[in-house]
Amino acid sequence: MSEILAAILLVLGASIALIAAIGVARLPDAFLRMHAATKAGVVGAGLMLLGAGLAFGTGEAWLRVGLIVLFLLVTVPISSHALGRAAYRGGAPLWPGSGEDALAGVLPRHSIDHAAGATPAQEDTAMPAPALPPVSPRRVLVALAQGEASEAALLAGLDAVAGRETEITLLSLLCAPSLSRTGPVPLGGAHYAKRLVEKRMASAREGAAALAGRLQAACEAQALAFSARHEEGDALRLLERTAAHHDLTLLPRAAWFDQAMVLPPGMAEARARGIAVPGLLIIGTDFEVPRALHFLHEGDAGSGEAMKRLLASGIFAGCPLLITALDVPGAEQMLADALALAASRGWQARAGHALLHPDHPVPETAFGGPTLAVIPARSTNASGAWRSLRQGPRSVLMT
Amino acid sequence: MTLLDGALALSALLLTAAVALTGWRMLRGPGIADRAVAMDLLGLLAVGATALVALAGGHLALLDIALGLGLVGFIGAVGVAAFMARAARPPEARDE
Repeated sequence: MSEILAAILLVLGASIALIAAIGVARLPDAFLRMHAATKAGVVGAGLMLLGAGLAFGTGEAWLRVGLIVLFLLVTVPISSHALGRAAYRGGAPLWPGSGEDALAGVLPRHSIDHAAGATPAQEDTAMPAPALPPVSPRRVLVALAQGEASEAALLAGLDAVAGRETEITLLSLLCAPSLSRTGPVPLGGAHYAKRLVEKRMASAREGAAALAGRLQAACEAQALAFSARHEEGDALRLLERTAAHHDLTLLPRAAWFDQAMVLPPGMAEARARGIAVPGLLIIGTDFEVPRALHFLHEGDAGSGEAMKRLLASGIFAGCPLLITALDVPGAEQMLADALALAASRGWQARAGHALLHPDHPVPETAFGGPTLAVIPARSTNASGAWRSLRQGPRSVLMT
Repeated sequence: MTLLDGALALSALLLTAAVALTGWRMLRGPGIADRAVAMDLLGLLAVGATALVALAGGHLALLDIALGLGLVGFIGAVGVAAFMARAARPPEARDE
């Protein structure tokens, strides 16, 4: 009897181990592979050990088998947790079909994994990527910022990107840390300082509410579906966290680059490191509906990630996509890879300008007019073109 | 040939296929994370294989080796994870 049971356990364990191996070989990204490897692997090995224990049938064997199984149950979750965390932080690519990245903005993500700018080739994943979402972005976040230029830019941007099926979130942000800064308070001035902060907050809230009201009226006039939110706290954190759940985020250039919005002291640093969300559309007042996208490929891993985010997000999908690369070693290969990747996702992609010199600002004629410039949010090369696009007056899409 | 012998042979066959698939993923990559995951699974498969060998030869002592393999696999995975976490930091923060 015990022999039959042992035989069943052995074969069952080996079958589950084989299923784990099939999962590791066929699932499309490292995290899904880990999902197969750890759970099914432990069960497979554990069942085989139990079968061996049953076949031996001695107390001595059971002791060892019990110890090993217990040990596996304790250690495998630990090691796979460590591996998963390190893989995420190391920038291991996520399969686009995974949906939203719940850790975006929570854990920093860098790139160690791939050669400069190389995007993982599509034929590597055994499963095909899901079909592209519809052309107009589905979930749009509008970060409200006060000021005339900002408001005009927001309205222009809203006009351009909103379609029938777009869900719009109006997010009005109040940066509490920077508003409640008072500086040194003289003796006995604490009460006065507190009143001052309260007054400042109240007037900022009033302004934000009035602006939100105007934007809501604009949405209602166009019969757009919208929801409104008001948040107070560290503006950048809030923006980054909320933006991760949207396909596109509209942010007025004047607020983001000129007045630093309502942004806290660490803002300069935050702008330098960029926000990695699916799409951050920095809109200037001259914004118009893009007829083409022009992607600046910096030749680093960040650009590869940005390219993938752009393709996966489906923002302005269907526009012709131009790709211009920097003149760095291996640029031609990277350009060819990027073009092939875009083409495989159904984009009409072609090479843009000739290779750009890394130190020169962007040529006047490039990236202008109805062509929307797309730059990687994070750049290790920080070329002249990248800097001039970030700091210039034009609208730019950062991914 | 008893029932247990048959089960052993079948399990060994299945396990061989599993090792082949996992090994293919480890060689193929494409990233270090994929290789690390495959390595982790190879460790688990080795534990199972050791149990099979112990049973086939009737050597109880081989189960101790399975315990050792489990331990080495764990330390190896944590080591690779630490290496990846270290390499993931931006270059300017790396040599502190």
